[in-house]
Amino acid sequence: MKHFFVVIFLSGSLLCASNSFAEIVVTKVEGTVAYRDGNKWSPLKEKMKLPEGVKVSTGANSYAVISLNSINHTVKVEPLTMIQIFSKETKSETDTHIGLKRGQITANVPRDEKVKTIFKVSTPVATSSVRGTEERITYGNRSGMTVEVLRGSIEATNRLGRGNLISGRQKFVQMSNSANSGNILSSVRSITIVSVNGYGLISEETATSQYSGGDQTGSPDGDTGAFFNNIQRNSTVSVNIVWPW
Amino acid sequence: MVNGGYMFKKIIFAMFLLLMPAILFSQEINQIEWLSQLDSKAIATFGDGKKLFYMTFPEFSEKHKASPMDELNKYSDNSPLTRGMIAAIIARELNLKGSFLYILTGWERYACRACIAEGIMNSDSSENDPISGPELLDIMIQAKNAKGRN
Repeated sequence: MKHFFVVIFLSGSLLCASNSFAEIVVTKVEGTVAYRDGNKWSPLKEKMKLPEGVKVSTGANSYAVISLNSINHTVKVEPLTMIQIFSKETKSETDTHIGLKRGQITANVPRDEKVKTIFKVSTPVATSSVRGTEERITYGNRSGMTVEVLRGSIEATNRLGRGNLISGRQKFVQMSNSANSGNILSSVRSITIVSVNGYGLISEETATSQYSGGDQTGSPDGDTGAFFNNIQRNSTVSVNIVWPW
Repeated sequence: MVNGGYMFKKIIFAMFLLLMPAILFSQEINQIEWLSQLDSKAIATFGDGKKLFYMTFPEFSEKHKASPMDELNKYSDNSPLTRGMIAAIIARELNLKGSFLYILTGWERYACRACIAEGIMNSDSSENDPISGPELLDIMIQAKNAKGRN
């Protein structure tokens, strides 16, 4: 009989451990931050323990840092953001899902070799999976989802299952109205590739001259023909390539 | 009688101290409730745009008390908010230089171009398009990020 109770106790403990909710604790609050408590919003305070599936919303110029489990996975909820948190943990596994409705979060997921880590951030357009890293995720109704990797690597997958492995200065951008995600090097490309319009003009000046007839080129007799001819000519460009970056 | 008056003042002060956290608490929650309502609005109003702008950039609120900004008094608060209206406010206050024509004219059309150049807005619609509450929130988050970058 004594052994029977020991077995019941041990199996009960194991069952509880395998499905236990992680402790979601608020570590820092700045400004106006609230959590959804039933049908109403209540202010969020430091050291507060939050239930599974809690919704957190931040006001303007406010943020909160929330610890998601015992191995110090944290999320910083930036201003004007709304998220929902699901976090479970056992001794050998952590399973965290964050639903990002709007705004921006910074997730910090330190690697622990002994613990299998599942850390996903979902938006209506895509999901990012983190493995030992730090990432910043932004989602907006119009701008879509952007994932920037601050440290380590992540995998981002859109609704159609098309995924990208992102690291370094690559950026995952998934627009709300597009089937494919953007070029992962778009942010790097925008600062390395420069459009050249000839005679040192920027693209807007070229567009203006085409619109207004080139008067601003200062031609004394109002002749605009030479200017338009020159737009299409070749330009000399100096390129410096530094490698590795 | 003098003691009675003194006691009365003391009671009022104690009540004020007791109610202070409740007042602050309700103000905080009001902001979150308002953001939540804005998030479900199909078309935001000019008043919403102004309110969110001042919430996000409180430093301009003080500045505008001294010298009111034209763009913020151009329309009534109930007017449906367009991309051009909010772009004009953001481009002016954040001193965006992304559009040469905006610097020349200050028009809403080119204010949108300046916001697109900074990544605050997308280039897939015009300055006359009305914007929804979630879009307004999105634009303001991007504007805050752009200000941080500059």
